[in-house]
Amino acid sequence: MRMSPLQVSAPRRPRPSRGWAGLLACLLALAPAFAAAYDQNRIATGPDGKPVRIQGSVVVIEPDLELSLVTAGGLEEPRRAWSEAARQHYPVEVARWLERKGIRPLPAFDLPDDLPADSRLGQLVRLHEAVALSIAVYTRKGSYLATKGDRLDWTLGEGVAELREATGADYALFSYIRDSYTSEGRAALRVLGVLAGLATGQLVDIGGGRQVAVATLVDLRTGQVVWFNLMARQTGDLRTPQGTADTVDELLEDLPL
Amino acid sequence: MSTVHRIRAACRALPLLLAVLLLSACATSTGPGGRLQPAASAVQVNELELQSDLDWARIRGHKRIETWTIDGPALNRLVIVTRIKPGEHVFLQGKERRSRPDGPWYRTGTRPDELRDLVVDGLREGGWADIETPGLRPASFGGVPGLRFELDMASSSGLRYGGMAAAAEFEGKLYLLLWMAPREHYHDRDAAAVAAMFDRLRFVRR
Amino acid sequence: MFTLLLAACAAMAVAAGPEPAAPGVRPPPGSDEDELWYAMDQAERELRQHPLLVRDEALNAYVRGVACKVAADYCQDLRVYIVEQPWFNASMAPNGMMMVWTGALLRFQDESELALVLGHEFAHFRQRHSLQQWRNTKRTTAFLNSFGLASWVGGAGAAGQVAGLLGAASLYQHSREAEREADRAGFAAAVAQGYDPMAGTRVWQRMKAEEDARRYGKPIPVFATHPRTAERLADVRAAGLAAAPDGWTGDPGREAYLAAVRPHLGDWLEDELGRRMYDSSVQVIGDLHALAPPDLQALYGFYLAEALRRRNEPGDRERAEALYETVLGQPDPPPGAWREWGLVLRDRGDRAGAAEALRRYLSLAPEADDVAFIRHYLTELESRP
Repeated sequence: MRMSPLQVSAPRRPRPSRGWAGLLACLLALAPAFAAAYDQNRIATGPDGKPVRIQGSVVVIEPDLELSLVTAGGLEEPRRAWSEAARQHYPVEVARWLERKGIRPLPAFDLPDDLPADSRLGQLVRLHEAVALSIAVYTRKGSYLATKGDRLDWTLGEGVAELREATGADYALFSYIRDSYTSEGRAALRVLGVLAGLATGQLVDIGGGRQVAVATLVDLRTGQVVWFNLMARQTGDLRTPQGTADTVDELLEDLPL
Repeated sequence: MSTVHRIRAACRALPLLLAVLLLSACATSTGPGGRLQPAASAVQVNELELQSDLDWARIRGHKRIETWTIDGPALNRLVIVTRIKPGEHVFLQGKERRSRPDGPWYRTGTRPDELRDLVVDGLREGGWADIETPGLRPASFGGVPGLRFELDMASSSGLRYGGMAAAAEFEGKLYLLLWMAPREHYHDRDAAAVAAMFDRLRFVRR
Repeated sequence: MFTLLLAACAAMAVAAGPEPAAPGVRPPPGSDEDELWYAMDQAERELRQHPLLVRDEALNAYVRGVACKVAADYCQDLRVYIVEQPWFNASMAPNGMMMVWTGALLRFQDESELALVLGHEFAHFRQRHSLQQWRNTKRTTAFLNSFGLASWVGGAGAAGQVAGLLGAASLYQHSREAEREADRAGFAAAVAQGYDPMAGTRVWQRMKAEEDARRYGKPIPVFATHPRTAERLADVRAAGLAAAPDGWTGDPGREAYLAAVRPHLGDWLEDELGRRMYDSSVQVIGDLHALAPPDLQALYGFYLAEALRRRNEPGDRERAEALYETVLGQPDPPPGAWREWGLVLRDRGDRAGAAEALRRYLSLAPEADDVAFIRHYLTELESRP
């Protein structure tokens, strides 16, 4: 059965059919020769026609992060503890990284567990997911949108004003990190994991230490997504502060400072 | 686990790489990013003529179903379905059969409110939730009578969408135009321009 | 006495699995059971935000109350969620998350029936059947997918998607032995709380009739691994007769149940029709109509007529038209009955009658979403001499 264009946009699991999954499969088939790590780093253009440079403070939005390792031998590694540890380390390491680069990091912004979906912030977070997915798919070489070409030209709209008020920041850094294909959480990340996974020539099932991460930097004064990166690699250990610092280095390397 | 589920589970475990090999061709007859459909031009999609004040990326999936977008289908999506025959799924997802009579199949002589129901049930099948259809009303598309309504719904992740729908029967077949965009920013940005597209929609004989 | 024996038997059954859970106890950190709970906790967080979650306070309080009663000492371990999906389904995840679909709530006719099904799900939880499955399959991708952790469970269309999405161990994920055990233990739990021992017989009888009404196609996934309904019906009938050999004179909780669900029946009946499984709908709504108290006759009658009209097999239209007419003479007919009757009269050429009925519809439902079309029909009806 063909997948319908009327399907909700982010399928929970890619299937061999047309529509989103077919699109991805196509992209993957067109993927260039793989490297050990894959990055899809994009920078928006400012009103002066030049790549944007970041000037101002950055708030780290609570990362959407899951660590779940399913090793080949069926070894049972406790995943809860890892995920919880990584959730502590990540904002700390990002703040350190930003400080080293001369950017003022603000206290991390937590998203309440029971944030109502229908609240403005709840909708904004969900919109961001849809935007990040769209960027991931359509800023890939070979699948640029006819309306955009190779530009990074996406926005979250006026809703960011609420975040700006709540945090006082000029920019917000959103992050999604997954360490395993069988992870729980948002559907879109499965799709991104597939994208990055196949780009590195590996099978879909990410296991044994592979990481997929997506990060965006949103200008809270305009709503514009000024920077995006999709990263996948085979090494990386988010269980420790040093490992997290390593991941952060790789993920944020090309942030336009 | 039943056999059905075992098979499904096995299929899900198939690496996507293999799935790529199984695909006979790329998903679209154009590239994945679509072809540019510039503003201010009248374009014919089978028997439908559309005029738009916006630029679109036109992703053709199939002879009878097209998706147009500006920022990506998750952020705005215009779907044009044409020549739906009696007995076919409202979004061309198959045909009615004796062994499969359950489904939103188009039938000749369907009432306007039932045509609306077809669209809603088709959307529900696709995972949309909490679907409301305010403003159901008769409409005319260059003299061909049909209906229009607005859409209000949520994706399964809870992102709320707004949109518009138009439907008409022409020479024994059903034609649909649907547009949806997240309420947050994307819907309101283009609603007026898209409404004008719907207003100007008409049928032309090929 | 027999119920005690039953409960004891249920507790001893299938001893090869994990020990039954003790109330109020969470698994030790780092254990595989803890990881399973963690995965379930994540799925539960998503469920709490899901657009299909039914948030009505009164309904939730009622269903939670019944679940609590059946679960007895484990009441504190449960969290109950109602999901708007028009299929008969209920499930319970290993972390205490219980889910009931509105299709089930539509089909129950009294509190005892609800208690029996919730008891069955609770028994899966107490006997840790999901943990057994988890261990058996060693946490393969396929198994995680069976809990719907970011997976697409096909078969029942959107229902399958929701079943997958919501990450709860669905009715169809357990072995047949586990299902039988849950039937026995669930029955015991419900009866121990004073519920009607024949409730299960009624439920499965109607479910069998619903299955049999569907003359085509593959079985719906929710029925896939269950002991065949006929077998299940036989078992629960035997258990019911054994528990009350001289008959049972208690209160099955019909009034309490109807009081709780009455405000929602219209929506659930609309959703039922939206499944487009008209053979099943005719059967299900027909059963509800046959046993309806006077104040619900018109509601069920109208929706039965709608199912017939939409199915449109030989004889259906006539039955539907007769029902519309009957319904309009009963207390509290839904406004839609006036619309349908108006359209029937229009087709018969009775323009005056049609206009009157349609105007009646508009006066009763001025906010209905099809008023523009009804006004259009009225204009047509009243324009020519």
